[in-house]
Amino acid sequence: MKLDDVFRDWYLERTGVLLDKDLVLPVLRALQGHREVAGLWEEHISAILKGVGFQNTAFEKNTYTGQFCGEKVLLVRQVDDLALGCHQESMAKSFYSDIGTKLTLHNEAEAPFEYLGLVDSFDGYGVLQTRDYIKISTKSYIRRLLKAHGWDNPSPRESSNKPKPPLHESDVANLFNLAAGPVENAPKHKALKAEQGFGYRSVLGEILFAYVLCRPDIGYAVTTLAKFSSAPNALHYKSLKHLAFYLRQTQDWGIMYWRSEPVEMLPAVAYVPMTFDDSLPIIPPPSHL
Amino acid sequence: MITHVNAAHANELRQRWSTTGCGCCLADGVVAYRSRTQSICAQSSTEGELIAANAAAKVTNYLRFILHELGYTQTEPTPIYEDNDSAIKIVNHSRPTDRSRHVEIRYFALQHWRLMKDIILIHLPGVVNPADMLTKALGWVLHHRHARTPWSS
Repeated sequence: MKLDDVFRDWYLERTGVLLDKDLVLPVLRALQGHREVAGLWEEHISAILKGVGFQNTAFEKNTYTGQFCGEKVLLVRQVDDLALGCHQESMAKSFYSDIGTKLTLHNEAEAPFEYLGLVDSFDGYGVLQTRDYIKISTKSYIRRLLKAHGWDNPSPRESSNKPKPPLHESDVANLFNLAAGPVENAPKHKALKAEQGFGYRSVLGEILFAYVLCRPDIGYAVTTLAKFSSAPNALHYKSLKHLAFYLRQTQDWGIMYWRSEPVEMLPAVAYVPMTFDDSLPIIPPPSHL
Repeated sequence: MITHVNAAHANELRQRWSTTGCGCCLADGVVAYRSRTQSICAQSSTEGELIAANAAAKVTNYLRFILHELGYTQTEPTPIYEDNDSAIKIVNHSRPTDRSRHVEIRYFALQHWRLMKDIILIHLPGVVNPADMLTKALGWVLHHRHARTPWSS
């Protein structure tokens, strides 16, 4: 690769040496692109969206609203993934072709932009759209997490028993009161990590992501266990592992948003209450359905 | 839109801080939630609940702004379900008591939002308030009940 001006400026800023333009730079790894690319892309796509009548909200730069084909539609943009909320699929298709034309460069035959149909996943969420509700869940993410640690096969006892709460009530006082484990970078910390077979911080971070996406039920467990991340002891490791197993048993859980009126073109899916224990009363869906 | 809020008093055993739990829901599903140790030490459970209610009201107001910009302006004050009666009385009847005068700024902010008709505090017992599970470790039955109930019911 020949050196360009941007690279020479960057090198000058970093090391104070102005490189000769004729030097050839070997490329060992894919370059991440220029620093200012993110900003330029945002300006570019915002201008295009403004051109077709979208306006973005003051607080959330990635949320847009606008009139399109005479109807109000909502739009979420996650860098270069767009999700459109509208009533008819035809609207989404015409939106796609409008934006596609504007994104196509003069020397390209077709738009570098793909139509993915009904949203089934976006930005880490799994999305299930049915006639009566929309459900978001993190099933695929949790499965990936468990697989990475070799925890994906439940023990036979576990599948027949009802799941336990994410954090044992009786453990909470001990979590705080027992002596802290070895601090990070100490040899004992590494020994404990090797003995337990996983890193406390990394598993905590992975579970935290599931919490932030759509699992408010593990909120207290995650925020409590996070308080011990610099010096966990064996009980903290045990509780964290238990939390991962709780997620394994409840990986289908998510948040359901009920529609005020059913949407006929979508498939009907029976309402299955999230329950493992038949002795508990089944809580019916809200009355307006 | 409705909001649930709850606080567990002094359950951070190292510094005796309280925990805030709150969730805002729209269309029967929760859209914003938080479980967090408070950054100051509440001296009574009422004070802890007021701090939690203040945090919840801030999130609620923020969501109201976004909904307004998206064209779904909220005409009614957003109900905030809270399980501490004295905290509700303090806000809804503008009556600080001797023991709560020191919670000043947060209290006045809540007062202001109530007068502007942005929020209204309503009582809901802790056992049916889903924000309960964001503040403490619960037994299986209660946890399961909170986790699978639609947040609006």
